[in-house]
Amino acid sequence: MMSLMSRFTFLNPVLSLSLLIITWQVLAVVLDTVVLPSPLLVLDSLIAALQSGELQHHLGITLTRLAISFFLAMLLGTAIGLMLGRYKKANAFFDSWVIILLNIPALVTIILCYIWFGLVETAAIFAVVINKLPNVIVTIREGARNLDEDLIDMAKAFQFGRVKTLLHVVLPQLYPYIMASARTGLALIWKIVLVVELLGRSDGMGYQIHLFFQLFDITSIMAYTVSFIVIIQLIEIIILQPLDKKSQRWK
Amino acid sequence: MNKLSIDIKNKAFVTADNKVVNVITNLKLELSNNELVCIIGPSGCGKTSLLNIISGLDTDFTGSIKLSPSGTDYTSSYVFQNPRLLPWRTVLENIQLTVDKDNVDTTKITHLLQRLGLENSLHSYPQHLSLGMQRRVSLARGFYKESDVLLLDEPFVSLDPPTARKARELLIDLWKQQARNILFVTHDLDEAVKLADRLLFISKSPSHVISEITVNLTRDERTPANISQFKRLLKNNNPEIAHLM
Repeated sequence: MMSLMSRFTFLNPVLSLSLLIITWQVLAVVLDTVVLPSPLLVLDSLIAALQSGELQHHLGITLTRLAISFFLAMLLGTAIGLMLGRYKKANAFFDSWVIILLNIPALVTIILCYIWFGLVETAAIFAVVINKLPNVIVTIREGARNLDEDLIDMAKAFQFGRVKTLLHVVLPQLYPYIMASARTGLALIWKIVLVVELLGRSDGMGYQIHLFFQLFDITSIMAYTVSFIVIIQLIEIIILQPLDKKSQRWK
Repeated sequence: MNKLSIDIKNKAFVTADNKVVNVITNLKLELSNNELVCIIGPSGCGKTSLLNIISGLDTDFTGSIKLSPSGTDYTSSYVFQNPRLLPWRTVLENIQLTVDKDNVDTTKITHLLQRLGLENSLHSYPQHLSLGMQRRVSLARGFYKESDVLLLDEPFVSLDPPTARKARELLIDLWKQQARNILFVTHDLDEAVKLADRLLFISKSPSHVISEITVNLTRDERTPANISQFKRLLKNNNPEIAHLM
């Protein structure tokens, strides 16, 4: 009974994904319209894009932008969030800044960045970072407020110093918050990078999708989306889940 | 000769409704020649505040703490009331972290943990240990780091009596091996008489030293019977501290 159950839990995601694809296929056949290509057509288009090397090129560029802006936003956001969480006065002073940043529409910051810095790579990266930064700050600030003061005092009493305290006392406590903001952040950054590319870059996934939209090439749009989903799953399985496990090993 | 002179003129804090509360006023004490001193006082008398000042956790006070001959530059280690181990580090790592990486002597730590009966828990995470074991790790950590004064804040409270008795014996054992000044805060007079060279009785807050008593029993003589005899004499001869017993 147990082995049957565990086999089912393993099969569950496979089953549900298959169901999704079957539904898609049935809908495509029944509706028989150009705006909903069947999964097989999308697969063909995906293979063609891979063979021409176009998909890898644009996906690579988008992933590079994603990685750079992700790490910049996480690094800056963690540092600022930690500072605001620990120093009440700094927080009282900068709180309104964070709220403003948090609520400015992504589109506005992107367009302003392009106007101020020109249609260059730096502007694109900067726009993404600015959009992600306040979310990281808010999450990490919450974590910094909940640090265990007893352990901080312990570190002080044993003269740990700043670096050791940060590495061994503070960061392990912030870890769940960092992971949470990494996950939500990745999702947000994907979406924003594409808009940034659509508005002011001549390569990357966003640019390509914009191009397909103008050509009304729905099959290619969906093929790119599938490649996208695969990459996200890979990041989750290869990077995020092992990190989760590693941080939980003492529990 | 390593004399630590503690002279706290005033320690106050401001409450939420802006009242100034004096916790400690004119509290003077000295520790020298690696002695073990127990501080006894009613609860809420600022004993933990005193230890926090000596350990450098609290710098918001008037007065001075000096080590002669080297001045204000002294080192302390601290065994807190709760063990305060880092849950994400193993027992061994928790102790290693208290000194610089280059000075870590794992053999010495292992030996120390062995004496405390923790030789099988070197690589365990604190959560997998009982409270008594965590307390022993905390004790080991306090002793491993070399310091001019070791501060202990009721480290054996809420342990069952046999475990607490064993822990006290281990403390004396370690202290004989690695002599140093120890300041031990407790509200348990039996424990204090069992452990201390000297007893310091502290008043209610704002606290100061009311009475200082040398325990003139060798450690072998400190049987339960002798301890109660000592306490009886103490009570009769020192009416000013009777209310603290």
